[in-house]
Amino acid sequence: MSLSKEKDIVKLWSVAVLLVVIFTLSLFLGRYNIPPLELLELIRKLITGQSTIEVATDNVWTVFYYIRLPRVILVTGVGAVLAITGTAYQSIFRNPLVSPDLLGVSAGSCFGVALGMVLTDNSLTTIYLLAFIFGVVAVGLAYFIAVFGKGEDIMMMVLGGILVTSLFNASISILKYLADPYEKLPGIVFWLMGGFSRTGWSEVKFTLPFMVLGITIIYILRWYLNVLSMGEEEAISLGVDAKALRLVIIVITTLMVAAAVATTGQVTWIGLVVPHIARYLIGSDHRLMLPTAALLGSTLLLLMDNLARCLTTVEIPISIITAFLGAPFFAYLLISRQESGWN
Amino acid sequence: MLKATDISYAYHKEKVITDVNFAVKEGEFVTLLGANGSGKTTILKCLNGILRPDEGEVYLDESRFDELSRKEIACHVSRVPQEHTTVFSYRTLDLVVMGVTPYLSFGSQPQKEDYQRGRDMLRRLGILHLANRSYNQLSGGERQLVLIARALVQDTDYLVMDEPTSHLDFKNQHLLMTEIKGLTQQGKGVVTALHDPNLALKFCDKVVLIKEGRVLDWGQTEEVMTSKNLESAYGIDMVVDNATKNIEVVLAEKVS
Repeated sequence: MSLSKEKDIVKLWSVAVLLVVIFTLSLFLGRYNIPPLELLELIRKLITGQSTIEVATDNVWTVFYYIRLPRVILVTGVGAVLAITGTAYQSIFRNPLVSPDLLGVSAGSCFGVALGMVLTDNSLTTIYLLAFIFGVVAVGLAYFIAVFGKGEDIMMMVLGGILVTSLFNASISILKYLADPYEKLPGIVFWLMGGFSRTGWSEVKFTLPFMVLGITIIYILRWYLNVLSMGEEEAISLGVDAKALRLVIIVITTLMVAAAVATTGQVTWIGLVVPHIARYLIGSDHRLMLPTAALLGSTLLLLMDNLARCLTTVEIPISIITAFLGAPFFAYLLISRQESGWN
Repeated sequence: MLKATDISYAYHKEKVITDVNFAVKEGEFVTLLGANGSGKTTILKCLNGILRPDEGEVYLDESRFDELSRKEIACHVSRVPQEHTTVFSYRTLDLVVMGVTPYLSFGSQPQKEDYQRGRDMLRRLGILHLANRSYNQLSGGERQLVLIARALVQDTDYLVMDEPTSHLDFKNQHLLMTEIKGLTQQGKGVVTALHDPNLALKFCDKVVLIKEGRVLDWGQTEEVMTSKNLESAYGIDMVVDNATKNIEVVLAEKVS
């Protein structure tokens, strides 16, 4: 673990630069090659206002503006959201093995997706809304089980999350079982495996407000993540209303993760592993560790999404890639956990 | 003055403390003595506002605790928990600076001067050399001192310490008690819970004897710590012996 702040700030900026590089690179990678010089020429034409119609109908521009750019933006946002939520949950639940799925948000959202696909003729708006609503409902249920069980106890919340996740997973199975095996079932299965191939500007518009607002608020609260990780009693004796603050963090993260899962399906492992990498790099102090985790989450998910769309001619579902890369890396962290900054 | 008046508290309808009365003034070193499970920790939690008593009130000077916000309480009463390790490994100085949290406005963070304050308090306790070490890698005695440094950064009139000596060896127990005694001489009011009556006898101004959630007796240490009182509190025969160099020693005779 590193203890010198100046060095850590340099590391944070290096990760930021890395993200900018990977972000730019990701715009040009994919089945359809975008030659950078041609794109620059098109942008120059747009800015100078000459032949805008010619640009708008250009294939390179269409792929870049309507497909690549929104996708890369959404991937960047989702990566940051998952990493930040994982970081916040690991702090407030005082457990380094916790991920954003803890309280059942993914299971709820996935149920919403499956329900939307069974009920409608693949109406995207309905599917997104149902996924978002059920994600929030799932966490709400887990939280109320905890409140009625033992007074907002952390352990009760975790148990509530397990319970709710299990219920919604069973409900997804019912929907899959009932769904038309030729028309509906493949769609549901592929969606739930996660991916960014559907992404256009409407997906970005739907999720971005939640993401920007959520990331901003959690970032403002980053010092309190240190205090909350000391436990409820210590937080209270330091003048922090631990229960209220925890609820605020749960509500905000749930909104942004539900919005993310609604549009992309499940993206596993990022929320669990990235906080550990950030802690390994920069230490546990959330003031530096939280922004590092966010930047790393975006960078890694961009890299994985690039693999998902470039590795084979058919796009690979994102959670397959995140799991195949995330699980071995997590095993490595567990084995060398002395250096990863947690007990 | 930090004062408990007739406080009672029940966990799930099981009453743990009943009608507890006592007070700490600034500059006083008061300890709670009593057997395991007698309710000492519950009483201390009430003094920090972590638990709200079901009946009775805790007063900070003239204000009732339930009229004060958590922030206001934390600006006057700090808590030194039992020496522990944290889930995530923080730098010692960062942990000490957490003491400024009750003074921060929403969304702000500790500044340079807070860090200077943190260093000053570490220096005051003679452990400045630990500032850049990882808190979890310190020894038990060092960690306890770091937690006291955090309470000093919190700059409260009163410090509440739950069994500060519990995981420390004999020498460290005495070093730590001497430090705490020093704080009271500089005007801080300290309430602790202790397991060893001898430490209470040697260091504390006042003793509150607790038995089964009630105050058996409280007042000046030598008046309260009679063998009769102690026998009643702990349920074993005891002698208070002042034969050795004028220092009184409590000895258990036989377990009845």
